[in-house]
Amino acid sequence: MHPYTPDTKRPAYRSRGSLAAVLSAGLLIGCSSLLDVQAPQLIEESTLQVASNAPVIVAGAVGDFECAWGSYTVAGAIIGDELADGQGNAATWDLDRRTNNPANGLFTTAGCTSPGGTYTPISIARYSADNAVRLLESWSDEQVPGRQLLIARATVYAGYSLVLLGEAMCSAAIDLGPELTRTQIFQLAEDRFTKAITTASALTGSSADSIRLLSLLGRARSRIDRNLYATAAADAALIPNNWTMNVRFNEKDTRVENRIYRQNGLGSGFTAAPTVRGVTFEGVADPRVPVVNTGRISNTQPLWIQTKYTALSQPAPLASWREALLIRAEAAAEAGDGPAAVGFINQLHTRVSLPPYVSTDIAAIKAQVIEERRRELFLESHRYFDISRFDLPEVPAPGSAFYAGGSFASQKCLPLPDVERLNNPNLRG
Amino acid sequence: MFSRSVTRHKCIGHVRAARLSRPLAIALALGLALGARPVAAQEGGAVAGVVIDAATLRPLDNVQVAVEGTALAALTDGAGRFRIAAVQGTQITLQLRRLGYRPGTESVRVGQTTLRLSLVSAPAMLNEVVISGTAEPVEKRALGNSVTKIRAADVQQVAPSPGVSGLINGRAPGVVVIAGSGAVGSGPRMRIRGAGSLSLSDQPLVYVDGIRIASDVSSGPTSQAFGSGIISRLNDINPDDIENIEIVKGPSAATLYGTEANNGVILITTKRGKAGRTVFTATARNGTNWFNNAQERIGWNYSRNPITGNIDRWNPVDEQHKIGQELFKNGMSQNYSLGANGGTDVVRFNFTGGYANEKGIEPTNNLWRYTGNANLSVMARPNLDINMSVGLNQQHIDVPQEAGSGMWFAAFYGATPYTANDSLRRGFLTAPPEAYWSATQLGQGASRSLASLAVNHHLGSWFSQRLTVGTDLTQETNTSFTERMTPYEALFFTSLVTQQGSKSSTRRELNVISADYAGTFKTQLTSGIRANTSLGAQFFRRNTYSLTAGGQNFPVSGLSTVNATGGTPSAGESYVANSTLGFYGQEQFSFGDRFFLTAALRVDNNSAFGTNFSWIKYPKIQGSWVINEESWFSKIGFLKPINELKLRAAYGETGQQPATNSALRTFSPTSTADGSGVSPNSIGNADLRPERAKEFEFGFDGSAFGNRVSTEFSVYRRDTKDAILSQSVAPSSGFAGSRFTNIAEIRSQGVEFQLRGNVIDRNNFNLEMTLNASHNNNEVRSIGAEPGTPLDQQFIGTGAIRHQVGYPVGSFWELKVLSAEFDPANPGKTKNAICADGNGGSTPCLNAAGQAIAPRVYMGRGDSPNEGSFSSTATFYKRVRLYALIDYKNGNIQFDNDYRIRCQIYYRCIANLEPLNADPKLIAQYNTSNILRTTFYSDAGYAKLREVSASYVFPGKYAQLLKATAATMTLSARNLKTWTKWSSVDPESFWTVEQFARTAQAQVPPLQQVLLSMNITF
Repeated sequence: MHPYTPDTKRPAYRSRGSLAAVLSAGLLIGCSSLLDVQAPQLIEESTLQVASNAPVIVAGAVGDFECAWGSYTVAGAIIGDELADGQGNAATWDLDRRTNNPANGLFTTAGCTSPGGTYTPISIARYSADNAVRLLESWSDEQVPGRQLLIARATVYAGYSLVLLGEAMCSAAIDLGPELTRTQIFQLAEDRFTKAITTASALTGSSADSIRLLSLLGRARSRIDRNLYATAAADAALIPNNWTMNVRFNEKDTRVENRIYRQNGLGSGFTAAPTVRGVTFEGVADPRVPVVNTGRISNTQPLWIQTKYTALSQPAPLASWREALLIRAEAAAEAGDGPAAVGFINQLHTRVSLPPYVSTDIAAIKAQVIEERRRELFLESHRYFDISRFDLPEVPAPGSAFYAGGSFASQKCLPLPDVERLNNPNLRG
Repeated sequence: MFSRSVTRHKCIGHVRAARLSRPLAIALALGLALGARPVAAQEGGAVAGVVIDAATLRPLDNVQVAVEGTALAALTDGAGRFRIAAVQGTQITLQLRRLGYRPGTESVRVGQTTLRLSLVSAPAMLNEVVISGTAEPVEKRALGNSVTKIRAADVQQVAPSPGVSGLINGRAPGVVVIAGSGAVGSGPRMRIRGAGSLSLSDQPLVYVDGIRIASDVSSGPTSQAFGSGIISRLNDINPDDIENIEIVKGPSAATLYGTEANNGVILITTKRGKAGRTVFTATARNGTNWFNNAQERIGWNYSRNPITGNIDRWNPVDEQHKIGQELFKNGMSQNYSLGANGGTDVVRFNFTGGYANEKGIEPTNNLWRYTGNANLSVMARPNLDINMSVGLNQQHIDVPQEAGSGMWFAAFYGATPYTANDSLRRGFLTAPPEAYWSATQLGQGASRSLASLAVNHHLGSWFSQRLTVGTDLTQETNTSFTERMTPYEALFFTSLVTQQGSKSSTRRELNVISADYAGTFKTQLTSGIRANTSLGAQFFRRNTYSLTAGGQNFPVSGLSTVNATGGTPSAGESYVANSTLGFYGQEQFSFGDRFFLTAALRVDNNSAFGTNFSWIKYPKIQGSWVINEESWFSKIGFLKPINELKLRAAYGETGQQPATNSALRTFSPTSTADGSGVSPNSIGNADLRPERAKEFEFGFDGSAFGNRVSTEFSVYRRDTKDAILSQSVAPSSGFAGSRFTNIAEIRSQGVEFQLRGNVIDRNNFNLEMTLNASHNNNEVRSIGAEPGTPLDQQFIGTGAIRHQVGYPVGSFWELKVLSAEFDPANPGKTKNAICADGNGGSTPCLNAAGQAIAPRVYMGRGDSPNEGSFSSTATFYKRVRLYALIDYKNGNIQFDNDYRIRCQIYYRCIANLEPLNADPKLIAQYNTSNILRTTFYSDAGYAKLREVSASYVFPGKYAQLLKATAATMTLSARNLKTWTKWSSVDPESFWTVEQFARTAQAQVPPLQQVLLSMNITF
């Protein structure tokens, strides 16, 4: 018999076989739930963005900023001559050598837990805060208890994100928009600070007051960054003595740890730069720049570590009355009021028991304000932009040899990364 | 007109008897049913012996041995043996037939019982049954597409491979094995017909005994410091457990596999039981591996002595040799396996068990592996057979730190020591080898269970159905451990974190569940036209669960658990699942068993599709024409030498699903100073849908000159629409990383060719040669750019790897330095570096600030478009076999980062020290920081003497000394010789994790290996 010759029992079998096939197929068709899968470690946007999650959303935005502050403060310290490279990873050498490449530099895409993370983590922090404000404003006070305070808090961190973005980058974009100059970015920051001030001022309580002060000093920073001395000083003058708002850290997670201590202290990937070793004022060691020689070698470099931060959980100043005094000192010097500027400087000297600074020469006083900023705000995220804003010489000088090969270059701001330029529809081409 | 003169094989019970005459088939069937093996009369003399494959010398089962002119016949058992009794006369002629082999005849004397007969394989024979690409197993003649079938068991006999990939390499035109690392336990990527996707996996689907398995190519702890593990799940499978491997190469053939099948499909069938006496086999392999000519292949690093001013040179192999501690030792390979195969016509079994122990060329690279495989086939009823397979695996692999870390990095870029610190390290870059080897361990333990159940049911001759269900469960434990360092180790690792030690342990569970049903109605429409109507459904689900614990700072030495760390331990947990549900219908028409037409439609849904997208349809249509069976064919004189010729054409579509969860806009829970928070995770794409590939293929299979020469030829063109691009996200959006979008189009096309010839077929000498060659090209056709966008702006990629319209996917683009001149004002420095402008002209490379201003231009492709192999097997006196395989790839370039690191980062090239004696064009590149890199690309084509072996089959009297029926000894070697222009250690060494870039940097090259194998059959 040919193997495909019809079988005489075919009709009966066919009906049973057909039934089985149809039943099987029907069973599977009915199981649309087979395609349901869980992703328990991820939060879908629609699940997250409900009013009851407002506190978590704002906490996330602040967390994004504090993580970004840590990574940028390290990156800025390396480019800005506070720290120097001491590791075999060539990818970090560009930071120290100031040869950061917009195509592949660490500053372009590294996240907030990586050395060098700058443009990406700051942009995420800015978005998180702005997004939180947008959501909060779409909800009502009834839906979100303490909504105004949350709005103020998210807004001020959006402002600080923009300040860091403008200070780090030569130019930047936000929300896939066009390329913005530093001046435009600082103006956007000021707008947020103003909004936060307005919102917080309408509230009572210590939390609202802290946000108001943080906003004021943030606005002062965004203004002094544009050399708007008088208005910056006016905001700074409202900051009470001994007031500080910190970036908070703990040891529970790498996102929340003190990145500076991680990289130079606990870790040895970077060494304190020669420019911050043995800093004195009139022969007295300046305690504001605490750096010690470990006697060890890290990738052929002597390992000096900072002792300003000595634990992964140690907080770092985001904004402080010390910064406010320096803004006022700078504004006074620019206005020709030498005694006032010197007075502000000496308030800071008194705090750390340094000899008083004495001068009547406005140019010298201006230079001293810059030097005081270098010391007082050591490893607080200011130095890199100060080099740019005051057009200070970079140390080591461009052209001098880098220990691991190549030469130092000059790079007083970071170029817009290719990852932004090529993937932002408003920038490409 | 549609009747055929030759009866093709068909099932007689479980035995496939080739080309049996009907009376003989009935006689055999009756005999088997009565349990009488062999079939014979009861008086007269006897003939007996063994039938072997003429090329591999492997015993052949199921060979029909018949006495010419009589009804006497027998089938060989699993050990290739037969016996026919009651043979009349003194001299007879035996006829030998087996599917896949040319028929043979042998004149023998009655009474000879130690005959050693051979058959020559004829792989193009169209009656061979394949299981891939169709609703049910079909003969090759009915297929409109090419399917490569590798007889793995034969390969293992001739050139034993430590992994599945070694079985495939060089034996399947169009299949490229992309090595990466040569460390023991590492596994390569495989790419079929080139890259068909820009951003999704390029790996084929893998099935074992009908169920889908996990075949991740890059698992294990990070061993290359760039996010890569080097352990491939595919290599968990013991090659000795495999009977054969079928490879379905593209959408034209893989339509019924639906979504995920764009990259082709590899189907592995494990060894099955064979009815007859139980055959026991024992195999032992022992050997060694080594890094050939390590000193010169790693090369020398140069530095200027600060005291003498002379140039010194340093090499890590030389340095260790000088102190009597060789940097690399010879590795070791041990492999033992036992097997039992047999059964009755009702129940057949195959059990295999194996143990492997391999050691690499450094102390931190080891592997041990236990494997077991059980296969049970039960013919429960005449129309119902059940096959159960269970595979178990327990293994541990220690991998070396390489590429960007560990001893390899320290060794490749060291220099002559001048300071006390340098001397302490003996010139090694960061630490001497013993410090790395003792301080850090990277390893993966894994246990794996594969289980499948396949049920085949027939209702008469008009309906058949099959159901295959199974699961693949793998449990990995990946460990990265750095002990609390000894004072000696701490001398080299200054970070307190490193000195205090750390441990990270990740437990990952992979589970793939498969269910596959197909039912086929067979209808005889007319006397010559047959129709097969198939309906099928498939469901696959993959779950990946991982649990991670880590900690730092062991308070004292000797501790090694996460709990023993002094800091706050970290923990992580994740779960990812993906499901595919698909249905298909297929209609196949057979016209006189010579012309076949098949059409099918598959519909799929997948849990990773975007919310705006659901079911997708994949059609296929194909035809084949066995033209030599047309009555007119043999009447044409010049066509007479052709024994078989099938023309075929196929069109089909498949898909490639996006990565799990990639359609979703998601946020991640994060830790903040305020407690729990959320942070942007993935920007998502609600419109995301699968990539869709359409492929057209045509070709022919044929044999000629008495089946001495066979050939397969295929031409294909595959167009991938909606190609998913992992497009970097502009950070200003608030999200990082990348986003999958369906915007690109890719065209792949190529030619595949295989020619096999039985060049000489004498009684005591046989020579076979096989040539495989393929050319696979691809081109980005679109990246979804806005109309009017200049062509040179139509690319994706921010660095050297670009997907540029009009060029191969993932090709290299760089500033191309044409010239430079020395700067008289700065001795040793250069100026006026001139680059290509991309339009045939030139332009300055850099601006005054040293930033790149010249455009990137096309440098070449990382994937080789041309690959192939040539192998030859010679056997003498049916006892001695010599075999060699040479494979080649060319047409591609790779990035020699070893060269760049030496000359552009550490300045340890002669030219760095004496720039004025060098070409200023090179110096201009050495003096930039990763900006000018033209010189670091190099031709990566090669040819390798990949496999060579010599075997001897001991005469029976010697085998009997061991109470064995057969014994074979094989001396084999791998990677003995490489011919290449490649500038660094080996053209097959590069970062494993990279899909397109080929970056060579301080890696273990493919090792030379020699094995002595002994195979004994009882």
